[in-house]
Amino acid sequence: MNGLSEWREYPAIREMYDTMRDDIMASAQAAGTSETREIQPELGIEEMLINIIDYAYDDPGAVWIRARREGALFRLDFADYGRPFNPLAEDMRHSEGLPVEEREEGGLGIHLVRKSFDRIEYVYEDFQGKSQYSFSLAETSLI
Amino acid sequence: MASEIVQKETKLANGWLAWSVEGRIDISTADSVYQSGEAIVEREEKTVLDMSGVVYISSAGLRVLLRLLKKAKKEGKEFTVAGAAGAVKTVLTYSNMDTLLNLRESLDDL
Repeated sequence: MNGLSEWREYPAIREMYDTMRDDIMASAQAAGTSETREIQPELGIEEMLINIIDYAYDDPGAVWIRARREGALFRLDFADYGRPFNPLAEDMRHSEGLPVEEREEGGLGIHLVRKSFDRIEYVYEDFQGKSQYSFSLAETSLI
Repeated sequence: MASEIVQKETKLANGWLAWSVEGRIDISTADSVYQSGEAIVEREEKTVLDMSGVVYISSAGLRVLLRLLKKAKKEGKEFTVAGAAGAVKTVLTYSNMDTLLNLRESLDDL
């Protein structure tokens, strides 16, 4: 387990996913995330990391992660130099109300990301995408 | 910590094939779960995924359920889920998949 209070670099490959997830979840626990709320960041982490791992780079690349408590929030930052992916601009492909046949599987993940975090920010500049996800450590939970 | 799953099939007296999965359905196990489910849906008319042993499901797992439901509907078959509890049930509800999949409390509710 590695501390993530400062930026840490990981190879953006599937084989590193479990390590990244475990490091983030350990940081979330250390920041005071209760067991009942652990699922909340985990749902978003998988979606965002797999998006970077699978789609950001054509050639091997890296992802930088930082995770820490900020007041009453747990804040998670991701950065990469791959293709831009704005979680706030993606279409809502989940499309509640549509029949099964018309639903897009890809939209489920971003739907959960948006539901899992209380605040999401995205910046792309100088060929670097930076996304920030925060949720309240208070027991009142969206999930 | 890598995810591991255990899968089992049981033919029920009412004609349903109960497919039970134990563990986490996430990015590490989703492909394996889908491959098993795809084979089951192809050969069975009525399949219920018993999720009472599932401790976590991510969006990758939800996509598996949606793909299997689409496949079953396309082939004129039935696919549903039962036994989801705790955080797993919450995620199904959260994503509206509980309604879509006609989630049952247990296998007794088929």
